[in-house]
Amino acid sequence: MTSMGSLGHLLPPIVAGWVFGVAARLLVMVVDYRAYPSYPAGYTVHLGLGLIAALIGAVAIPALADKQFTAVTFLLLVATEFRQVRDMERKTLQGADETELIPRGQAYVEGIARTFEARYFLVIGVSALVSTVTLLAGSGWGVAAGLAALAGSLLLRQGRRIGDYCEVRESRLTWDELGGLYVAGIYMLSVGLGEVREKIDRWGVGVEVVPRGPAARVILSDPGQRQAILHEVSHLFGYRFEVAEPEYVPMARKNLETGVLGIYLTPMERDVPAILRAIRNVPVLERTRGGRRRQLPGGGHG
Amino acid sequence: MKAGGGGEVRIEEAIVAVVALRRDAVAGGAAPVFYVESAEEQQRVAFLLTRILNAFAHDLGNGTLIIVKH
Repeated sequence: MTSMGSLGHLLPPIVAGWVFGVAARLLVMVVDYRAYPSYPAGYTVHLGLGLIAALIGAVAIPALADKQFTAVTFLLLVATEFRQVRDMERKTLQGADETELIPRGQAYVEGIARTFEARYFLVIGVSALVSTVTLLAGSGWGVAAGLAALAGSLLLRQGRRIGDYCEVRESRLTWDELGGLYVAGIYMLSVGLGEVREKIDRWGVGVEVVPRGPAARVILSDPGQRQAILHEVSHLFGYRFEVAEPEYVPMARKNLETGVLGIYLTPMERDVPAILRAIRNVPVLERTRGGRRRQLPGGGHG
Repeated sequence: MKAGGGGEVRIEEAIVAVVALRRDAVAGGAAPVFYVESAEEQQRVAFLLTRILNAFAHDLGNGTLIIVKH
């Protein structure tokens, strides 16, 4: 910066922008039931990156106002580095997936990674907004803009959930005479061993996910979305599935006629109401929404 | 079949063994055939085979269980 004098009047916008940016990062760093990123290391990494992102956002406009064009160029350069957050998260999750018996799946990993990336641009945006408003209209307006931006961030944090699109209810497991297992009338798998059938009767849980409308049917058809559901439930409630015990693998199959999804689970913890709640809370993957479907008749849920 | 979602399914379907009560229901082929005397023995043998081979047992309904690697 050129002199202490110009720095002095630029300080309030920068500080305000920084504070609100970091606050936004903390606000959207949910340690929810999906336990990510609840690892202390993950928390530290994202807090550190959040501090940097907020500073970039906070400094950019004041630097421009002070005609520090070189500084602004550098800041923009640094901002693009936050694209790497997506790579970082993707690699971490892919690594974790390799050792999971019920992996998240590529689609879910990509969705989570993209969310993390987006949150940094959100932080930069909040900081830039607050510092600009403070610079132009004073601290009072700056704080007001900051609070509004935080409220907006909270709204953005809450994505769409399976429960927004579908009814989720328990469904009995039924058998045919040859050991075919059905959930809500949907064929799951053929179990030839009597002993295993008895255990499935004891441990198994059937869930029926009924789409409300065509948009919901598209969501449930997506294999990545189903994998995300199976992973979440398995992660939360455990599973009996084991190497060389293949019949207990959780499974999701759709009814070709109605689009209803039948889910077969073998949780370690058999708390059915909680399982239903967890399924309703599974995020809808971005890639299953929007796009071409919006232009089709009746696709208005997107 | 890994965690049934669909995206993760690997297609490696193959009958790796057959456990048969009736000799006339099965003939030749690439998979070994285990003939058994009773339904109880059939269940026992099939159970062992599935645990050893990490495979599923499917009932064909004609006294034959096939052990399938998914």
